Amino acid sequence: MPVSLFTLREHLAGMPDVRVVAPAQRDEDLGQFTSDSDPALDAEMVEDKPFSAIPVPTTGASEFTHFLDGAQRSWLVGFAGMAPMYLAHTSAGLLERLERNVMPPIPQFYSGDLELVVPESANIAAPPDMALVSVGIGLTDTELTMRQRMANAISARREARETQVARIFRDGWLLIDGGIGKVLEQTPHGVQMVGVVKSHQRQYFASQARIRVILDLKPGERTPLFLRERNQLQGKEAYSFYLRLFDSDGKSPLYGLIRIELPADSHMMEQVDEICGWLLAERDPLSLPDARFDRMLYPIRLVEKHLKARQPSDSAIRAILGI
Amino acid sequence: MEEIGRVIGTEKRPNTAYTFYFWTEPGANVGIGSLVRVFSDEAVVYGTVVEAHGFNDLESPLHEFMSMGGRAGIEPPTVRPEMRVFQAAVLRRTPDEPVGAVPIGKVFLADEADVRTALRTDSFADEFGIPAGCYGPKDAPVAVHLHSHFLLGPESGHLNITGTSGLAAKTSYILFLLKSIFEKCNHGPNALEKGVAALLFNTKGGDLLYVDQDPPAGFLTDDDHKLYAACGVEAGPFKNVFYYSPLSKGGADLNTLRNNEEGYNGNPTKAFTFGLKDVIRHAEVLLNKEDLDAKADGYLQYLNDRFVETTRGHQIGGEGDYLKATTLSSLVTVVRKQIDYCERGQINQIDTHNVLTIRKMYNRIGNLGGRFAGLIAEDGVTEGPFDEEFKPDTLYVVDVAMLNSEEQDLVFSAFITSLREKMENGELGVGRLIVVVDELNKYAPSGGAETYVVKSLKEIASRGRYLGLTLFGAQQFRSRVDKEIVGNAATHSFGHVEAEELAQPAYSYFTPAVKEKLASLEQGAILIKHPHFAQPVFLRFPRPACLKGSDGMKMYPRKSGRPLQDLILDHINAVRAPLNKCKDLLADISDSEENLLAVFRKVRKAKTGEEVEEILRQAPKKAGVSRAQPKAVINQDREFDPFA
Repeated sequence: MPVSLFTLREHLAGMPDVRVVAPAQRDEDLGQFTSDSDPALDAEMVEDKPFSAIPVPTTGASEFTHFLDGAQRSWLVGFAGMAPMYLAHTSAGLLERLERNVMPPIPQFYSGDLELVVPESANIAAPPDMALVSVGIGLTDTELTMRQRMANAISARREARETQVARIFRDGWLLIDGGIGKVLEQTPHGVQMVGVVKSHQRQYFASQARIRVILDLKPGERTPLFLRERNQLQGKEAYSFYLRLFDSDGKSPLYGLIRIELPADSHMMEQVDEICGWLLAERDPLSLPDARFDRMLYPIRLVEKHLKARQPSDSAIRAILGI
Repeated sequence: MEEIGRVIGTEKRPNTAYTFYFWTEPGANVGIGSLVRVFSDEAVVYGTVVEAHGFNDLESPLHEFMSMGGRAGIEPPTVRPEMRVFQAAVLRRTPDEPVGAVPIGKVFLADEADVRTALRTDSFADEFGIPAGCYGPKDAPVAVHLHSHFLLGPESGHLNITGTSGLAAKTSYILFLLKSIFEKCNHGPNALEKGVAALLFNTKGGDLLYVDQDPPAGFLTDDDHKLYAACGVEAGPFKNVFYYSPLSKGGADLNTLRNNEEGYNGNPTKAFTFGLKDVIRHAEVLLNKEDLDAKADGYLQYLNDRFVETTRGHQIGGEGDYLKATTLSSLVTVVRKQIDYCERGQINQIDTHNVLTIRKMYNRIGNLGGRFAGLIAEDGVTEGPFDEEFKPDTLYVVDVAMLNSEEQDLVFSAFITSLREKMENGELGVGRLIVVVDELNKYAPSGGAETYVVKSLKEIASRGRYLGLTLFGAQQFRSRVDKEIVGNAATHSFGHVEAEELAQPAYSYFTPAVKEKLASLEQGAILIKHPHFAQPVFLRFPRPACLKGSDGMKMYPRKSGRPLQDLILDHINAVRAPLNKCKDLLADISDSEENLLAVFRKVRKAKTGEEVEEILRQAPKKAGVSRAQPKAVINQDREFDPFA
């Protein structure tokens, strides 16, 4: 990460309606705001089986060779009028596992940088050695919607980096943290990849019976495959199913529940149970002390650690700002 | 040069001017005591590793337990990454100024040039360096040098050695270091003026009794030879060694394990005894503290002044013959006569000394001859290594292993005092004399009484480096040794040290990891502190290239009860007197034990063949054999004596 002697505060000095604030209001938990979380219909089933729990054979072995994750962190560093400005570090890394060790990312499998995210209307010039991300802010936007747009723009940058890194992957089995639709759009047919979606912001079934089947899954059980349709937010269509990793007795119904995405390919359908076995094998070791350890597979946590280790510290951000 | 890691500095544990942290690649060949070099644009910093930390991503052991489901045997598809972080203490930085925090930079394992730079030996190793051991891997050891002026004086001096007995932590290292010192300071272009000699006490078994003999074939390993080669020290025994021991209680044989003539290797053990003056001077060692009160001490000084250190002698009660005491028995006789005089005259004091005091001292002194038989000379004359000036490149071994603790105290006290006096008078005879004192915690205990021995040791420790006397003190428990004596040593070495000892405040200087390493240090390894080293350094040293005491004792078992004639012949051979002629003379002298013992005592002190011949010639003869008349012998041919 470049560190310029010319601070951001000096760069922005004199610009009308722009003020720089101390980055104490760090806002790394800005989530992606979605608006399509309520399904009208049940998703289309692609596996010729009744919608019930399917036990998965466990072998204790896993064939996944590579792991992809993205990370982002942002700091509220100023305002242009009412609109917030952020310094955002987004990154993506694809790590290989060799002899049970997840190796550090090689340069072509890592993308990450610090960018200044500003409202388009502020006409702010890019600082030296730093890219600018302009976000359209409407006149009618409220403070909340302004923040939503900024957060979405930052998440989009991270996804773009994930796609950038993943599209050059060819050999082996790739496990991706999140959906695979955007990556599939950029990769040729036949690349072997599996996505693990830990959050359940979107429901794919309206039927209470199917929802009950999903929530009642026992450890090592999955649902039949269904089609996650293509859309702008998630990219190309993919086969999907739910899999329970850990027993949820006495816990949240979503405890240990993940949704898996596979390329919409017939031979993937034939391998689905085998892939489930790999995923179950990846439960060891647990991702503790991560709070999401019931759904976070350990190699993915390691990728996240590598990415977070490359993020600037709060002190570095203060130095860049000149505060 | 092998790059092994990088310096890190965190807010919680920042680097300072004297300590830094670095991580290493997995499997990097670095551990406690490793020397490393940090390279940055700002400065080059050298350090020694003093602590090691290992991390993975766990916050609690419970997480790992849960992670494995309590099953230790499973092998998950991914292993937790592990990293090693080391703490290092700064040895040196270039440039020297400014002394800022250690910069973030790449870390390399130190090579030979780095070792010399880091330890500052680059400036003196060639001219004043004494190899003290080696640093580095076994297949490529790098010699580390001590500065002779800082080990032997005059800049600073003395060595203090701490180590557990029996684990090659003290004696073995002392022998190697002495060998190294002898080679570098007695030979070659950088030899010290008048050379170096050493005086050692053999306190147990045969540890030091065969240091002039080769070890058995194969005793030294390849690693030992590599260490000797790296240090530039010959892997061989000491060339010039004199052995001394007291006499046995009967006064005939030597009270030493080294009395087997086959084991002499042409270098017989010599006897040492203490004369009357020594007895009086070291009365505080010979007598109990309760006995030697102010009155008794005053009386002893009176006896010394009036009857010993006097030419004419002194009368008892101002009447009768002038009496002079030259032996312990004659002094006892003087005291007896004083008591008799008081009893006869019914007086209760002589020369202000109360008869009760005199009677008490008569009892105490009277049994010294028995208690210290073999140590106290029958003829009252001191003999031993102090008869002549010390010679350079020579080891003087005083064997006190067969003596009891009380007798050892006397020997030690007398020798240290004599050394101190010779030091003060400039009569050591060599440029540097190293005196090796083991069991310092016994002779100079911390918080103990200020005995004469302690005073002498303190004098040597504080002023010896100016006067050519260097103390190599050793002990098992450093924390129990007088702080002044320890503190005056500029160089310190630590072998294996017991954990209980390491828990003492004296070791708080070391990090926990260094203490742990000391507590489990293998034989042949030491930690050494030296004025030129900013931090202590772990070194390895080879086994002494001489016959081990246990091997020597097996090869040359102690002979006891040898005929006096044989003992006399030993000395005839030692001074290279004409053997056949002396045998003939010996055959003629009276073979009563009393006579042979007297002859033996005289022969033992003879320095030339002529003296031996004369003693034998003057000795009482058997019945029917006439005594030869004394004669002057000038330039006599040793092989042909027409008057014999």
